[in-house]
Amino acid sequence: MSAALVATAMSALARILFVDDTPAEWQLALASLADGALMEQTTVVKDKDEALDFLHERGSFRRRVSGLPAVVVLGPNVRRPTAMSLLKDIRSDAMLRRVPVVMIATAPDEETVRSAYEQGVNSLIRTHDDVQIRAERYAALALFWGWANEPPPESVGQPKSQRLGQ
Amino acid sequence: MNLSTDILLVEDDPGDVRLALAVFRALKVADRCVVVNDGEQALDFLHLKGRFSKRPPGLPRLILLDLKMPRMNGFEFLQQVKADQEFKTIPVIALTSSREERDVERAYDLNVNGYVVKSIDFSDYRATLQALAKYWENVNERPPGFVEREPVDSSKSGKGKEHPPMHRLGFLWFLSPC
Amino acid sequence: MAHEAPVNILLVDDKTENLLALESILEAPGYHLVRALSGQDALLALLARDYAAIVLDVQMPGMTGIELAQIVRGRKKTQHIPILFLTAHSEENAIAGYQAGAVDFLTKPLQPAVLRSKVAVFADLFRKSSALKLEVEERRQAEERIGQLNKELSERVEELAAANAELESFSYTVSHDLRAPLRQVSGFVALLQESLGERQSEQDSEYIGLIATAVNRMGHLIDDLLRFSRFGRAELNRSLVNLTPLVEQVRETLAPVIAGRDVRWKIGQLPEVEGDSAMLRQVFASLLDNALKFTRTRACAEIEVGARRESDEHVFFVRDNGVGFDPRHAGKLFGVFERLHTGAEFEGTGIGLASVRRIIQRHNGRSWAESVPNEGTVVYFSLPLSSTKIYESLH
Repeated sequence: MSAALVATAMSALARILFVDDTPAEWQLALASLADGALMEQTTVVKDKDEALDFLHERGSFRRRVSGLPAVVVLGPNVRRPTAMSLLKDIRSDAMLRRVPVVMIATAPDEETVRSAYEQGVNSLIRTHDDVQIRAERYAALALFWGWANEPPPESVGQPKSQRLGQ
Repeated sequence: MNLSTDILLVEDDPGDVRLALAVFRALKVADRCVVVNDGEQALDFLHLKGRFSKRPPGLPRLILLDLKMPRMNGFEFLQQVKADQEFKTIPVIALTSSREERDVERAYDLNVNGYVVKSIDFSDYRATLQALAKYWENVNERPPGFVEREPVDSSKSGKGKEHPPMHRLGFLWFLSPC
Repeated sequence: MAHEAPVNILLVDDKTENLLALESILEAPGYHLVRALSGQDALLALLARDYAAIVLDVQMPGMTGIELAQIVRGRKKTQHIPILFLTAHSEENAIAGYQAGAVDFLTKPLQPAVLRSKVAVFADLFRKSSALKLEVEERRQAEERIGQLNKELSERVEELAAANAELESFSYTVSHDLRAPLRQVSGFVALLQESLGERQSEQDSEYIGLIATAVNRMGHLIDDLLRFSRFGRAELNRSLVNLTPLVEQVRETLAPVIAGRDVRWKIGQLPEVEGDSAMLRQVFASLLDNALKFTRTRACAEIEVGARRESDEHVFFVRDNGVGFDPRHAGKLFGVFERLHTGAEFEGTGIGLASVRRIIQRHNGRSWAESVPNEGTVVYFSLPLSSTKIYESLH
């Protein structure tokens, strides 16, 4: 993980946690998420362990600004069992259990969808081969989960409410 | 009239319904939106009961749920839907005026998929609903049970594509006990 | 040993000459000597006054001294009065006498000095015990008064708390219910404008714009009221709050307000305190927001946040170099909806500082402010040190 990203994770309020080990994917995601002048900060981690470290503010994420992200996105390159396992860990942890989780899956069948929702995923996205479409989807994702949606109270302060003085 | 129901809007305030539909109309989804005024009617819709017994089969793609409603309130409805094996995969987004922490917490505890606050500022409200519709209509994977239907040919729809859906909704609206 | 009222001594003997003799022995300014020629007379006399001692001849016709003593001892009112027996004989009467309740025996012929000193002891005892009884009674009355006042006070406090709670509940409900119609006005006005499009005149446009502005203001008012009432009603979620990162976070959320401005921050070392972190966050949000607002006209805004430790509390301050306020109106500063600047000068509903005061109050602290007009303002608030001092006040 590049130093720049680590620096982002450390100092800023992280509203989006993106889990994926393929640089091409999260670079695409970051480029799209930064669209629309939204002020989310996005942190990228490459696997389940880093994700949990980040969420628990431990290990290399020990001194980051406190507060859970507004959404955890499980990228398309996270293997399904790992994704489900991380989702399960999040949902069974008293501190983390309400954090919104979005899973990006390649070719999910009905069974996958059902078991993901059963495990408590908030939303499931089918990935797309077309880069342009993927980029648009990331943008839509960021706009909804990073701005329109009201996360549970334990997630970091919302720029939306501040802007409107509510 | 054979359009799929993309959005089931559960909202008791007629003004808020009207506003939401105005935004949805601009997004071209108003004709795939069904409005009910309380949790019981929403359950009727899902179960194809009562006045919905003759509706085309298939589950909605998305449920937008006001939390403060008379009789069965939003939380009770949410609980029932999420407990139902068939309906639990339908995304439910709370669409409410309350930003109260306890309401947010309770909704997430009941496994709401998302929580959107209806802002007083209209441009914010509109942008929020647009972001919501765009994501849940186009990006989120359709739930099992959702049946996609081809849109009606506009030449058949009479006075223009605005009217049949409004008429249909007006019909439903007229029936709703307020 | 100068005392106020003379004490009563009861002299009981069936022979007048003996009573005279006793009187002459005991005559003194501190005594009021009362004669009784028989047991019956003595009982009558005992009904009329309180006696410090009874000097009693054992040998009496009719009711004997022993019998009288028994009766005196048997009555609650008189049972503690010391009885001094006078007798011609010694032993056989003595035992019966003590059993009947005599405190002392003196044999005749009397030695005046002995009699005087024994009576003096009883008199003294009586005076002291009377004084004590008086004091006890006074104290009891005082305590009763205090108890009554306390009861009234707590009733008053409860009434106040109930009234406050009702007011806050009302504010909350109303604010909440007002949002829907307000949103609809705002929405339909915007839609109206769009619907009219080209067809609207400049005046139409202006009117619509003014409606939108008014709606906006109303929205802020409602939100502020909502927030204010929420902070009065909600339960305090007590935890250890580290204020340094909290202030940092608040500062970050104010980034859009700071954008494009020259703002110099000085954040001192802030302690950890016990309190409700969401409410304390609101305190700093209000104070920093105010500081930023009132320094808007400055080329370079200087805002300082710090804390100092006093004997039993932390005192925090937020200082700015903004326009300040007239210290003569300082009393209004923290009032709900009180504003010291017009809407034309600075926007705002005047609830920010009222919320601050409310929250700090609920944390058992104080809040106050100082200012020099056109030089700056300092807002202070205190939080008690000990965690045991943080309790929900009844307000």
